[in-house]
Parts: sequence; C-alpha cells; structure tokens
Amino acid sequence: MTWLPLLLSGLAVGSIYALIGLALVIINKATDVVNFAQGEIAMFGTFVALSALNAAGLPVIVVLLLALPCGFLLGALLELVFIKPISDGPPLNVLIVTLGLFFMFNSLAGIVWGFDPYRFPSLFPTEPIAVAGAAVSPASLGIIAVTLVLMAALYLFFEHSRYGTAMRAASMNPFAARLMGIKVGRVATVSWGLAAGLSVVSGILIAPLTFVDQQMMISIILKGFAGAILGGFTSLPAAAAGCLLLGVTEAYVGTLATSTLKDSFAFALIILVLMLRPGGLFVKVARRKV
Amino acid sequence: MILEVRGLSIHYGGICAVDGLSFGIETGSIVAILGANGAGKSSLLKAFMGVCPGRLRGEILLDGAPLGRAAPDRIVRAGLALSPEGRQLFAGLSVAENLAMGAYLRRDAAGVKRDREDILALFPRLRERLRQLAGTLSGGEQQMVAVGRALMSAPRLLLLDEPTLGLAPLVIDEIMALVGAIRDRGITVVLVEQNASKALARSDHAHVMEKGRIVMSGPARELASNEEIVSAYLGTA
Repeated sequence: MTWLPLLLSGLAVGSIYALIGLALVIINKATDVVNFAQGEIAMFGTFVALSALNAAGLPVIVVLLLALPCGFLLGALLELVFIKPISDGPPLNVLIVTLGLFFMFNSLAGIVWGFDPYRFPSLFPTEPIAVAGAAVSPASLGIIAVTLVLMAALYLFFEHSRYGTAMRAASMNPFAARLMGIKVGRVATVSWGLAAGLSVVSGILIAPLTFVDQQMMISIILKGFAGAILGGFTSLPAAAAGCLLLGVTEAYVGTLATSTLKDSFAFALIILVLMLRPGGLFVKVARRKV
Repeated sequence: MILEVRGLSIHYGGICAVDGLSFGIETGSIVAILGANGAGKSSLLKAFMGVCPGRLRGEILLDGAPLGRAAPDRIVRAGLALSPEGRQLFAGLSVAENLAMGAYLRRDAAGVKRDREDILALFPRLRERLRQLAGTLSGGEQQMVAVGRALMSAPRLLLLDEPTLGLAPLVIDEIMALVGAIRDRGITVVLVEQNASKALARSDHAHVMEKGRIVMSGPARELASNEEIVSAYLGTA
C-alpha cells in the first residue's frame, strides 16, 4: 500500500494549490485580471497568524478559524483602497497594481519579520496513523479535509445563494446585473475578500510543512495558477480539479524521477494539455447557439 | 403621469444623443417610441434606469418627484424595469436563475413566487426550459426570458427596448401580443421599436424621435393612418 500515502500527500499539496487557484479564478471572474499578489497576501496573512500565535498566545485552531474572516477583511480593504479607484481604466492597469502589491507585501514582510524562516506549529497531530496497512500523515488528511469543506461551502454559496448567483451574473454581464439592482462594484470587493480569505487559509495550512518566510508562496502561486489553467480557468470546479491533479502528478513524478525534475515535468505536461485542449482539461469550449 | 421628462439632454463626449426632450407617460398606457437607429431611443431608456454612461442634463420625474441621479437599484425599487436591447441575458445561468435575478432586490418570497407563476403562465414555453442555460435558447425564447426577468421585479413601468429585433414574424406577433397582456396586469409599458407598424398597432400613444428630438407625437391610431408621416419618418412601415 505504498500508493495511498503518496496519493494523499499529492492531494494535500494539490489542495493548497487549489485554494490559491480558486482565489485567482474568483478575482479573475470579478475584475478580469490575474492577481499576482495573491500568494503574497497569503504569506502576509500567515505571518500575522504566526504573530497572533506567538504574541497573543491564541490556540492554533482559533487562528485557523479566524484566517478566513480576517483574510476577507484584508482583501476587501485592498480592493477598496488600491483597485476600485483605477477599475474604470484598462485591465492592464489593475494588473500592474497587483504586481505592485506583490512587491509591497514582499518587502513589508521582510521589514517587519526579517528574512529568516520561522517554524509554524503543527495544526494536526504529527504521529502517522495506520490506514489500510499504510502509514498516513494526519497533516495530509487535515489539509484535504479543510479544503474539501471550503470547496463545498463555496459551491453552496455560488450555486445556491442569492448573492452567490448575483456574483456569477455580474461576472457574465455587468450591465444586465446593474439593471437587476446588483451593485457590481461591491461584487468586486466581496470577490477580493473571498479570494484573500482562501489564500490566507492556504498559507496557514502549508506553513507547518514548510517554513514561514517571505518567499514561501512564490512557487505555490505559480502552481496554483498553472493547475487552474490546466483544469480550466473559467470554472471554479475545473480549476480546483486541475490543481488537485497537478499535486498528485507531481507527487508521483517526484518518486519516479528526481524531485528536481518534477517542476519542469508539471509545466511540460500543462503545455501539452493546453495544446490539445485550449480551454483546459475539464472545460468544454462553449459553442453558442445563435 | 407615471414618468415625466423635462428638458432632458444626453451627451457622449461631443455627440448629442438626446436633445432637450420633454414628454410624459400616462399611467396604465402603452407608449411607443419610434425612430431610426441612432435616434436616441436606447439612450433615453438607459437614462431612465440610471445606467446611461453619457452626460445628462434636465430632469426625469417619477410620480412627480425628480429622480436626480439615482443609482439603478433605487430606480428598480421605485418600480422601473428594463428589458434591454439585445436581451442581455445571463447566458451561463439557467432560465430559472435569470428570472430569480430579476427579483434580486425583492424580499417578499411569497410575492416573488406568485409573480413567477404568473410570468410562466404568460410564457408557457419557459416552464419547460427552466433548468436550461439561457444562452442555449432560441432568439424568441431568449426575448421572453428578458421580458420575464424584467417583470420579476414587479415593476409599475416596464421599458421594452427593441423586443422584436431579429425575430421571425410569427414570434414578433407572439411577443407583441404579450405587451397587451402585460398592460392588462396594470403595468405601464414603454415600447421602443424600429418596427413601426407593429408597435403602432399595439400602442395607445406614440412619439417619433429623430436625431435626439421628438418630431411628432400623437395617438397611435392617428399616426398609423397618416401614411405620409409613416413613410417620411419611419421608413418602410
């Protein structure tokens, strides 16, 4: 049963990618840009969480629960201060501002917390548990479980709540959404909030397995972006599935070949898939009936 | 008088789309606004809804009170709804979700349910398509969703912008028949059309616009019977 722990650790890493990938897709749907600062928002939030743990002495579980609402506030605030004032301009302007936010958070973290890596306490038990004769890491199971809960909540929100449906409507046709009385500007703010909340959770989930430093999310945002494109950047479930698939593929390639090969293999695979299916693996290229 | 316009002008940069318009819309009537492409009709309807990107001057009064530069959500709450030109459906949402978005601002669940049933009785074909994505419907069905979605806000004044554009003649008659049925429910209707003869046959009153001005107004029947006017201002009628 060597495949089970490998599959689970692949899914766990894929879950981290998926949370970032979902955040990128949510913002892209609302503001038509890729938020390059998404990973740095996660990193900054993780540093804040670490400070809350160490300085305020909050229990780990409380910090994990606070991550989503606090991240939401941070993201909504960023949108109101930096994005809203320029949102009437071309999307490229917004893109440049997200690059600016990337460097701002990266430098800010360095100034406040320095450039040395910190340890983050474990969120889950560290003793491996036996599942079907294989030793499985509780951290992997925990990360997968938290991510699945968040995905289910997102699904219910976007598909079955009034405001979630309004957010999808505003993304499809902002003009018609305004005619319905939907405040399209507020949809953008809420999208940034949601995205930042998910990102901070992903940062806190991965932090105990890596270290906390200002470079911690750089490769993760690239993988989240790539995984989302692999699945299909226009659909939340497709993007999440692409990220999970990327995580699992990486895990297997890492054992079969050297781990240095796995990054380049992942991207080679994505390029190949997109040549064959430009819309992503799980998205049909829509054909409109006229 | 449910809606009144006083000296309304709309400019896009240096271009004048609507030029000092003044007219009123009687409560409970069907009013046609006719005119060629670019006469300013759509700009006028967008201005009523608070979604006109141009520069506005003059006044729009609802029930005698100036609307000012109210945001669209306030205008929808005040009882206006627009079925826009080109339908502008949420193509990736189901028909049911499109209708639900029409009632986005309403919190009276029972009333919404009642109106939804009423609208589905008006457009029986939509009932079979409720789960279907709006973007996959035929043109006529899409137009019905657009009108139904506008009706879901329970408007007192319904604005229809080119509801028959690009539809087959049989479907045009079907849509036009619905305009009468909507008025019979006590809703005032403003019908913007290029299809002059069909619109005049259904309306009580009509205004003809040209280059942002009203060049002629009167009871629809009188305008329709004056062939000279019809051919001069409305082209092939």
